[in-house]
Amino acid sequence: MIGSVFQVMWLRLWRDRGALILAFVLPGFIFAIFAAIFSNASGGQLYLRVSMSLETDVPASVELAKTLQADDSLSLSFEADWSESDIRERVRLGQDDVGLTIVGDIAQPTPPPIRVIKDSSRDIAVSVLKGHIQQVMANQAGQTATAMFEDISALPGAANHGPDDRSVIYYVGATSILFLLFSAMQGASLSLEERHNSISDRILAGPVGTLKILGGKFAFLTLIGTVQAALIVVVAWLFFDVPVLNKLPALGLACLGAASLSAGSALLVASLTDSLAQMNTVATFTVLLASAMGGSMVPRFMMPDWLQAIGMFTPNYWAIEAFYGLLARGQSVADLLPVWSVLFCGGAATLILATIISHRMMRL
Amino acid sequence: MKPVLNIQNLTVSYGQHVVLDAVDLAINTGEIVGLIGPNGAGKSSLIKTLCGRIKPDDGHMNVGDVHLKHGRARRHLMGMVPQDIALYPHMTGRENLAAFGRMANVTGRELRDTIDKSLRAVGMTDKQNVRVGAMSGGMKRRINVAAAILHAPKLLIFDEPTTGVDIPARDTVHRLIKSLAERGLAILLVTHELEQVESLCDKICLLAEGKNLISGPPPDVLWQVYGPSRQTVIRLARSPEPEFIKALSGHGFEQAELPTVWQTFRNVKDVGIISRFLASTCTDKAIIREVLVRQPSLSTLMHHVEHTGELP
Repeated sequence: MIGSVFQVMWLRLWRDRGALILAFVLPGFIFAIFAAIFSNASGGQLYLRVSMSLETDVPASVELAKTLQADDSLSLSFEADWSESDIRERVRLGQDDVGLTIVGDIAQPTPPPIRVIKDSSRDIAVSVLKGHIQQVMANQAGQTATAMFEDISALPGAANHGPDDRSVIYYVGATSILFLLFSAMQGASLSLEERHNSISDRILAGPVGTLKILGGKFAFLTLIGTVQAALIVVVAWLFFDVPVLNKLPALGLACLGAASLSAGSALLVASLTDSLAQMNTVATFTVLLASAMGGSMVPRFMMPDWLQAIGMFTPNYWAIEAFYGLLARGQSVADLLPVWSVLFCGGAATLILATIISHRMMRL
Repeated sequence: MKPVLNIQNLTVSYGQHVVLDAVDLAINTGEIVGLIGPNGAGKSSLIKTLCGRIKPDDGHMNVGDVHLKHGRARRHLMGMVPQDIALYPHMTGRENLAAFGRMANVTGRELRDTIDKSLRAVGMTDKQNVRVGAMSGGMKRRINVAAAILHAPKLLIFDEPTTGVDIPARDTVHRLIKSLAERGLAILLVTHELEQVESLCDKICLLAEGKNLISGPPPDVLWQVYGPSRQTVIRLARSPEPEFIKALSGHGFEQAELPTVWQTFRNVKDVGIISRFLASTCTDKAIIREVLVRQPSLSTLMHHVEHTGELP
């Protein structure tokens, strides 16, 4: 039965050349454009999450640390017993946008007394933080501190890749989920067509239930989505030198998880809408909104805190976490267990919800 | 003989609103039963209940020996031909049948044989590999029917099969319905086309406001309602003056669907009323365009029920 639904959807895709191009050619192309544009993003006033450690007792440096702690324009986390490695870990895991370790006397520029711990996909945060510290120091004692910083990457293996590579890695997940959502919404619109021309009536008059019908669609959309995401990973590897070969199984899991959540979300949207036109509008709006808030268009650290919190309720956030965690932060499959849980359980939950809603709607 | 479909005392409500009120209906093998009634009479609710999409409040509904409660098993015995062309236009006729067959749990060699049999039954064997989107209206209708008989149902439901359909396609559907009934299928035909019902159906079931007003063979139903009466219709060239209306009313005429159409029901022996009226009362003969004396039809009955919700 599931195979039969699968066949219907496959033939629909295979015989629609436009949809075929949209599904398999456009994603890589758009990814390349997005990556090229956004990897050089810069500028702007940001409300940064910063973690800080203080590894000196020089009065001027201690005073700077206190001033930064009291500064409302930063969300600064500080614990007296934190070391530089703690700060690196926090930045690596994305708990903070940038880290700061004060290791010497800020009145002596060499060796650099301030180490800035960065995630290269958030270079803009480093620039903003440096500018901010310079301003604080200038206000405090008339000092300038241009040469007082040493940049240190929080991410493993950073020596092999320039900053741009990290930004490209970010957009592997960001672009994948954007396309998976659009593609799944397009595929799920078959449900509306079936409802509109009474195919649903015919099917449900027979022995098959709503869960099996939607299960077949879910399986198809998940498979197609997995292939689409994999194609983006391949483009990232071939044209942007993103190291993927040593993480293929884990990346496969990320592709599958992102595709699963996209498929479930799309079927849910289809079950909540009454017509194709309505579905198109709702789908476009939903995908663009989720993509904007979830970090597919602009990295989430550039957003205000409240928007970052809302972004966690989008598929985009979790897909980006999965890909970025594997490719940039060097996290293992086990490290990302919460992410897999959300992706796969979210996919299953949205499928079940779509089934319940569709079942009820068919009874009206 | 045990009916294929046996509905007794079926009651369905949406909240407080009763949409089917103690409806009875039976269809035997090879029988075509027309389900008719005004909009909102409960026809769609009855079909949805049959298909398991609405849970009834009360009553018994058996398809063959399978009771209402056994939804899946019961639905194995039913086929549904929706009003729309419920087919995937990007797939050929055969591919559609294969898909719907698998969804009805028919697989392998049995599926191939069933598809061939269904295609033969609707006369589409030679066009089976044409995409549905490229088929004519009549061909689509045939495949639409073939998809409903794939799993060899005992009962086939046609839901408004010829609404908005051109004459050749309509004739195709009529021939198919006849032919399928001759093959032994019990057929429930839901329609607003009463001429179709009179010519095709062995029995009718007339619903109004959720109640089964009357059922039986069309001639029996009409005899039961109208007896030996004949419907006398006078069509006028223009709207009549009050004095003329008074004369019409005095002879038992009442206005029908238009101000220019008046009718009365009299015993067949009493149709002389027309000549008496024309000779004695009607001085303005030019106003009369047409005079008809005919047996009341299902259209006549339906017209009355649509306006009153009751039998005459």
